[in-house]
Amino acid sequence: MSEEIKENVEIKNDEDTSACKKEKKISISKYEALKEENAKLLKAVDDWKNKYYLSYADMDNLRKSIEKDHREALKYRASGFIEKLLPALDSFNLALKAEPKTEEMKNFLQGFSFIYTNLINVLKDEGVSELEPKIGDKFDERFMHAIDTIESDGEENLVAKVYANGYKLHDRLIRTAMVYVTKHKQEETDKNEENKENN
Amino acid sequence: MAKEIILGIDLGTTNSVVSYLQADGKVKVIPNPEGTMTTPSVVAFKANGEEIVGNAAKRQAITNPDTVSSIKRKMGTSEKVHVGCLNKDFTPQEISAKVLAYMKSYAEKNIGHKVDKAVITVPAYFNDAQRQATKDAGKIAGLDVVRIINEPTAAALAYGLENSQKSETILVFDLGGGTLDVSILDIGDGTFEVVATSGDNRLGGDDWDNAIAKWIHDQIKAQFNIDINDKMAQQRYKDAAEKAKIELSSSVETTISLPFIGMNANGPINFEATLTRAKFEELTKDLLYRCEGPIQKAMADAKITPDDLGEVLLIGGSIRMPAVQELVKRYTRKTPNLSVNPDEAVSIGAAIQGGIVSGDVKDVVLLDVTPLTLGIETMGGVMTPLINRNTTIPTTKSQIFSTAADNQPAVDIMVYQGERPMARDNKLLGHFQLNGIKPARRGEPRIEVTFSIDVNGIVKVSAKDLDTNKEQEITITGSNGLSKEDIDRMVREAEENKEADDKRKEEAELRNKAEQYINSIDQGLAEKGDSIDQNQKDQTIKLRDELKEALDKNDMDTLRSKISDLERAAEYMAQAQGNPSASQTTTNTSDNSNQNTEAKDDVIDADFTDKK
Repeated sequence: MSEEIKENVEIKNDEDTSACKKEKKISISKYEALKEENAKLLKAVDDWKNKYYLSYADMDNLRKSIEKDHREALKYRASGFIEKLLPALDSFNLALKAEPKTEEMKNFLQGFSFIYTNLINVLKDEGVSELEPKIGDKFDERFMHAIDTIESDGEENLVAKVYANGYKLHDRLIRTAMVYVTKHKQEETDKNEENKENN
Repeated sequence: MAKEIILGIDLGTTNSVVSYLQADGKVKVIPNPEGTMTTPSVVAFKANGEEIVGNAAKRQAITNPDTVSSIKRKMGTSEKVHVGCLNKDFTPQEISAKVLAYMKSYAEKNIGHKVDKAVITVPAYFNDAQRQATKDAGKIAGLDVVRIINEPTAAALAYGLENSQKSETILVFDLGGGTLDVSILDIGDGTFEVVATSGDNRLGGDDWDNAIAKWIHDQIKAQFNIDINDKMAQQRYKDAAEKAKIELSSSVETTISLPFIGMNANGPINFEATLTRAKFEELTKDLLYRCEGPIQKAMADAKITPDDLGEVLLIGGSIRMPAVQELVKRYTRKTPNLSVNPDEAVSIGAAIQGGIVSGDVKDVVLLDVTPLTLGIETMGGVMTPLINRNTTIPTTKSQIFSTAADNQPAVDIMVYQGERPMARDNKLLGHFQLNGIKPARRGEPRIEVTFSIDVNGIVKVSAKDLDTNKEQEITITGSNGLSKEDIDRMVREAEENKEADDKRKEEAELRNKAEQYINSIDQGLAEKGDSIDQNQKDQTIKLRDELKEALDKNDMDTLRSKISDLERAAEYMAQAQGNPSASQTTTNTSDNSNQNTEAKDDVIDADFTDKK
């Protein structure tokens, strides 16, 4: 026989009436079962609460990440377009390096120079800056790409020739400048061979 | 928060890629500090102890003999790399570790916290020593390498094949910048077994570039009778060739333009030529031929025929060339799958494996989406959407509507599902009525319509009069009864009929506007007609009559041309009355409501018809 326990549950209606006490009798085993179920339910509530908060936090973090990506996309929106312009800009630079033989050629080149300047100014307004290494500058791999070497007896790793200028959009590199770099003769040939073996 | 993040790293011979599985179950490929997704697997050393990794290391390679690239070819061997400027030897693992450490650091910066674990991929033919060396490289870089997986397996994961219910044999064709790898895998019950591999480790995209570069040089020689072959010119040929190859993947011809490529007696030499895709494929047919052998060998080693293949996956940047895709299709008799970015697929697969290892994938809650747009019918028979298709559920959306006529006592809420702009072309899910709206001018009452879809796809639609707080609601359970074919058909019909539908919607909206303005004018005339300037009054009445006639005759052209005049007239009237313009949003209504509603504030389920 299960032991009965008395559980007194007091219900107050209002102050004028006397409080009526109600007795409820349940078995211990049922009580324990209810207590256990209650504990499980409370834990389940806790779990769901945590999942909800986790989900909410994930959503919030995702939103922040999307906003950040969106801001970057806006800031650098012109980068694809500028990359497509690079061959034309490079060609302009090559053309302007030509040495005119006749007065007529000189005038044409001057005209091209004005057109190029106009174009570059428009790009500058968009946040583009040109990286223009000069012959004799120290080679810097952060902004320059050494496409080949030119023999020299003087100091090594200086810009010997400029193949193409580089361009930045705000703080992002669109393309590095492409340069030829000075190198001493013999020993470098051996070391380049060793380097190639790794490939 | 923090589900543990495990990086997925494709440690390639030429380039490496790192990605990870985000909280929403999507893989994000992480850009390096220079903004590119792939990072050259190049490490350089300087005498002052500085180490450079990635793009910067590649850019100075030609100036610095202590630059190490393609170290993957030495992994698993006891060969050491001697760095002259430091007079020190490094093992291949130590060099690879520097690439991994660089990627770890920019990944952590992008994610926002430290990451200590990774899955790294290796070629299927790597032996134990090579795999162990890769694991050691990770350890040196501060990464706990929880798995080493094969590159073709990673590709299969990227394509979602781990969820495949059936057993199948797949072929993975990987053509990168410098190597070709063909692998045959047996997949079943989430396991992947490599049954055969073949390849050519000196064949890649660069070879296709060189073929075009040579053609350009030869064309200039033929056209101008001059051999321009200085270093500058060679570089320009190479750059133009790569650009042309990429363009020919999406166009059948491209223009190669090299102004000022040289000088002769006549001044600057400007070269321009058209290269067709057909010509390009002719120039490179021997390279294509070299792709055939590995496919045939791998299939022969696996003892399979094309009929045994379930899927064919293409990875590596060079598979973008149509001729390569055609060749694979010809030999496998399957249309290759290249829906995942071929440069990133291996890293993406590694990230997915990382997610599986960390248990992320099991914990991800898979939510449904509502397959078709849900909305109500509004004035003029227009479908006003409240929940767009492909919205993740559960979800709730509300919008305020109003009445279409003065003193309208009730609104009919007709709930539709579909993509067509006119309500009657969509599927009617159900309808109900909200009564007891207090007498008011059209457009004044505020009826809040709310659509809710719970996690099981049950749709509830409620309408609440915000002035009286009266509310009605229906529950629709049949809204997900459509098959995939039905859904696809409805979406397709919407696309096919778009032009005609848009025209009908535009006409309906034009009619609505015209009716509103006419109503506003009539109201103004009735209330303030005597105080308005006679000339203005006559003009307005004339315009109103013209448009009323146009409405009756359904004369859209007249409506279109005169609608702005009518709008101005209506605004003038509204100002004369001292009122703001009427609200634009209205619900379609029935004016002859005979139902008696119970005067309760609590929500009751209305009598409704659930249309299946």
